[in-house]
Amino acid sequence: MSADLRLDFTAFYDATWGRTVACAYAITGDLGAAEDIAQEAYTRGWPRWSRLRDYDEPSAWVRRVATRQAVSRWRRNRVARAFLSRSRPPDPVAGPNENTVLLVRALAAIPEAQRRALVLHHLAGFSVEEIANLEHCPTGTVKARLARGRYAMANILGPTSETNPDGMESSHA
Amino acid sequence: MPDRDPLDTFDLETAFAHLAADVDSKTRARDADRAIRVAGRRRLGAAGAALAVVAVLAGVLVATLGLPHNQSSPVATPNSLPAPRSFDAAAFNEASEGWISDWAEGSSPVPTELPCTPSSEKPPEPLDSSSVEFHAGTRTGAVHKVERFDTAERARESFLYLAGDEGCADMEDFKELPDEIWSGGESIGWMVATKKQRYYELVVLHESEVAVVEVAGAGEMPEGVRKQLVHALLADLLT
Repeated sequence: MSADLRLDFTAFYDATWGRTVACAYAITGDLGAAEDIAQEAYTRGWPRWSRLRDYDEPSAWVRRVATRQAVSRWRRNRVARAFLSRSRPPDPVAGPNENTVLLVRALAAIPEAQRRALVLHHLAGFSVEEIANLEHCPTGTVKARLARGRYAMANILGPTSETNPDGMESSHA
Repeated sequence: MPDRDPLDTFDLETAFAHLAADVDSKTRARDADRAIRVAGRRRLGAAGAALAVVAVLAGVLVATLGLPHNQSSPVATPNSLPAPRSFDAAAFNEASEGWISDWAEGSSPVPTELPCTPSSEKPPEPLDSSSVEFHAGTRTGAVHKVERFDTAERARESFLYLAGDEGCADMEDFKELPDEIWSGGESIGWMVATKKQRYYELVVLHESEVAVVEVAGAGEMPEGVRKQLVHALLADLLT
């Protein structure tokens, strides 16, 4: 790999890291895990970089890999969390702010297919058609998931709800 | 940015923008050079592994089976899906080379199902399914299951259901295995150890089919074996 390619990849990595982590975090609700997932997505991206760099949106490839991994890991981590919670205390790191935590908690409360659709559309920036292709379903299904997901999120966090199910005030009103 | 739904009364775009900005301010990029180094190590490691395989199998088997030459590459790509091959005892033994070598079809001598509680969701009904048990000696067993669905979407829901256990009884150790992603599918896997024995589960999704192999009572699975098992399970789905 040439030095130019390496510099190009590093610039891409630095410019897109935050959004890639955000996509994974919105699904997993675990910032450390989201960073692991993002790093793995970039690690997989580097051997393909000579081709990826010519894509209109190379970041879309990284976000797609990260989002798919995040969904699988979130599922598996139900078991892992149960094990780790007994094995070690949580890391004392500064986490996201309260609004972010509330948003992610609300995402975790809606059906998983709706959560995937919302994150892929609103955070990863995929079109309805692209999501339908990723999820192997008709565009109508994606539109329905987005609509239901938005409605569910609005019910949890929107202006008509002063408090969320945990009794904490929502500042999204 | 995506088009806003005019009926969307909740400003999700703004909420997600705040989330992205917050995460961006909290996360520190791990290091692009590290990603490059790890990718390079995987390539070098895989090159050594491929040479060892070539030495043992005279290169012929690798070419025939299309075993992965490069661990930084996915198990399969649109242009290099493995040749279709049934997952029988011979295929299981070849994929398990260096881990377990005496698989034979027949009832497992030990329970192969992970002692874990499935999620409360109902899994989608497959169009059809199959299940074959294997044994290797008197203390190691396995089961290979395949489910075929009418759509890739249902298969994906099944795949995620299988990945969604709520907890495992008497668990003493848990380890995630690396994921694989290729166009048309992906794989996940994990190890759960109890006082009695160690369980491995690999789940492969490809288009509208899902394959699972559960192995119980075996020693630690080498990473190369995991990759070859995923490859063999995918080859079976392509038959």
